[in-house]
Amino acid sequence: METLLIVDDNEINRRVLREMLELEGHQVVEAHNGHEAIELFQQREPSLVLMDIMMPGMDGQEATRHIKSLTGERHTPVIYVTAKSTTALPTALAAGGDDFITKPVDFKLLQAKIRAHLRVQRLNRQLSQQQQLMAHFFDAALQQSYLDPGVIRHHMAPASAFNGDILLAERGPHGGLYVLLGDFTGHGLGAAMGTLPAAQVFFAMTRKGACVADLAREINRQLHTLLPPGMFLAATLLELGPSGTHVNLWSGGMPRIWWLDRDNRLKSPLPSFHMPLGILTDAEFDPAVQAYAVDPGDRLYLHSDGLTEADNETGAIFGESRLEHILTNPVDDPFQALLQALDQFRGQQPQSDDISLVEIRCQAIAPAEPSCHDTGDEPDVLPWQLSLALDSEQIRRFEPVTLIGELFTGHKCLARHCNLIQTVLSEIYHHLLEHGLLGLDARMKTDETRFVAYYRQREKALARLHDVHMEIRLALDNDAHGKYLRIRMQHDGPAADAHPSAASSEHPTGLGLAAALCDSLRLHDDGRAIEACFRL
Amino acid sequence: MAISSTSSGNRVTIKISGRFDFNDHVAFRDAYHDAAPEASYVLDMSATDYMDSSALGMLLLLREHAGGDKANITISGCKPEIKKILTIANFQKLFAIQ
Repeated sequence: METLLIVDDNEINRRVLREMLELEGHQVVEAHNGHEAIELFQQREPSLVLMDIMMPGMDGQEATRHIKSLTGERHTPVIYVTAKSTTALPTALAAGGDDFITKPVDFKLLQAKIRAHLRVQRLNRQLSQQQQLMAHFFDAALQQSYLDPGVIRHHMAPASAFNGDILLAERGPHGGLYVLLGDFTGHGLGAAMGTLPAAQVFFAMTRKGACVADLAREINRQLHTLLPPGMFLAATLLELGPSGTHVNLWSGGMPRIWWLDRDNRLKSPLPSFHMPLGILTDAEFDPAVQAYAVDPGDRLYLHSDGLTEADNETGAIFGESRLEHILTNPVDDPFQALLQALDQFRGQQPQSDDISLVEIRCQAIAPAEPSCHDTGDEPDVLPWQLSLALDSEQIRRFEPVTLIGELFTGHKCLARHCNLIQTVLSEIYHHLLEHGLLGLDARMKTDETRFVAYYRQREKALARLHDVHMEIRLALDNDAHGKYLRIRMQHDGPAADAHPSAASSEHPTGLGLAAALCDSLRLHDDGRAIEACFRL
Repeated sequence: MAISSTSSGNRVTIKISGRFDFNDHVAFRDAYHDAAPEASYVLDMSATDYMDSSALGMLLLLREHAGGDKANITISGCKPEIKKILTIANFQKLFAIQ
């Protein structure tokens, strides 16, 4: 049952309408004048209002204007009930009324109009419920961001309920900070749709410590697949290194970044070199990253074009030169100064595009999670084992070390050491493969020609490989000293030289490198098997 | 995974992103092949995540191209695990590691 509000100063008019509406099954509340109407509207939240125009005190037009300003995003239809030829009708409709009907009221027509307007009202309510649900998803996706105000300050002002500008920030597994500021084509819900896949890729990859080039490539790949043609994401992706002394930057289709030193002196604008994300295919994509050495206390100012293109009542735009002027004339706080200047400039002008401004303060940033070393009270891990047996064909086709490395990234303790463990696994695996199964001479790799020749010979030998197997076993466990990964690899080919040296012992590479990275490493079975232990 | 090089005057900067192993051999060699041996080389490894001994081998090949003992090569911006590998290989004796 819908609640309808009748506003009329004439009691007979109210009673006639009430009876008709109650017959239709509606609940009715009555107001005698504009003031009462506003009060009842707030108390009862009716679905529709029937409004007389001519009333003593506050008239129907003024009451409607008031009611419409109260409803906000919620749509509540107002139908004027008015004398046949009133000149007030055009201005009354302009004040926010949705429809009108003339007195004496044709009940059939009024019924039809009420039904039609309630249909619109219901659709509007559904839409706003769905929007709330969507907003919840967006909030959840974006709330994961690391937005410590000591490191990163931001002002995000969407032009509508959904923001087509997107700000994501996360600390890397080894410390440092990743930031993405992006601007989808257009604004509103359509523009915001791409936020979810972009955020998902961003958080999944930054938590594994991906490099900016890979991050940009993967988001581009996802968006190219998902976004409709003509829609794309202009974006700046940057990584501030753990020590806060260098920045890696990939930027496509965004306004340049302003780089200031600790005393607010302009160091350099950092331009955007690339096409926006989501336009090029993976093959066309250019992941080239710019690297900059920064000093602690330096600040980077990123913004979307909504800031420089914001307009005022006269149609003038805020512009790059105003931005530059504020940033390059030393003030205490360029971030606040810029926002104030923008506010003053725009005045009451409604916003036509999403506006974003971000300030990043360069400094050393610690990793998000405590390391496995210094958390003595961390529970022991559940021990597990992993074993892989490769035949000749599989040895030819797969690079097992990379595949194993991918498994580690989801495991907190291993992910921290993922790259070093992969180096250890790679050295052991390639030692057994190249010097054991393929019978190559480790001493060959000393100059360019021999280096190439070695790998050519390796390729040939690999092609001829048959009837041999390689087994890889990994076990994660803990003892009194903490967690460790036990590595065992063995093959069933010929025995190898027990002490092969890939290079001089002064510069250990190969197995020497693996041994130095591990806590222990031993050869068994005439060099066919290697066992190592890596403490986490 | 991604190797890019830029040169200005006598200085060649090579940036290595992601994994650095034998798969990058051709791209890495191309990055310095046309540069004069007496040039000064900067290897930007700030975005390098992983390397193995074939990558160490490739660094030695660059050193040879750049004149061996007379080579002027700086390795900059290494993440801790990359620095660990370079240190174990005693590469600080062969390269200026920043």
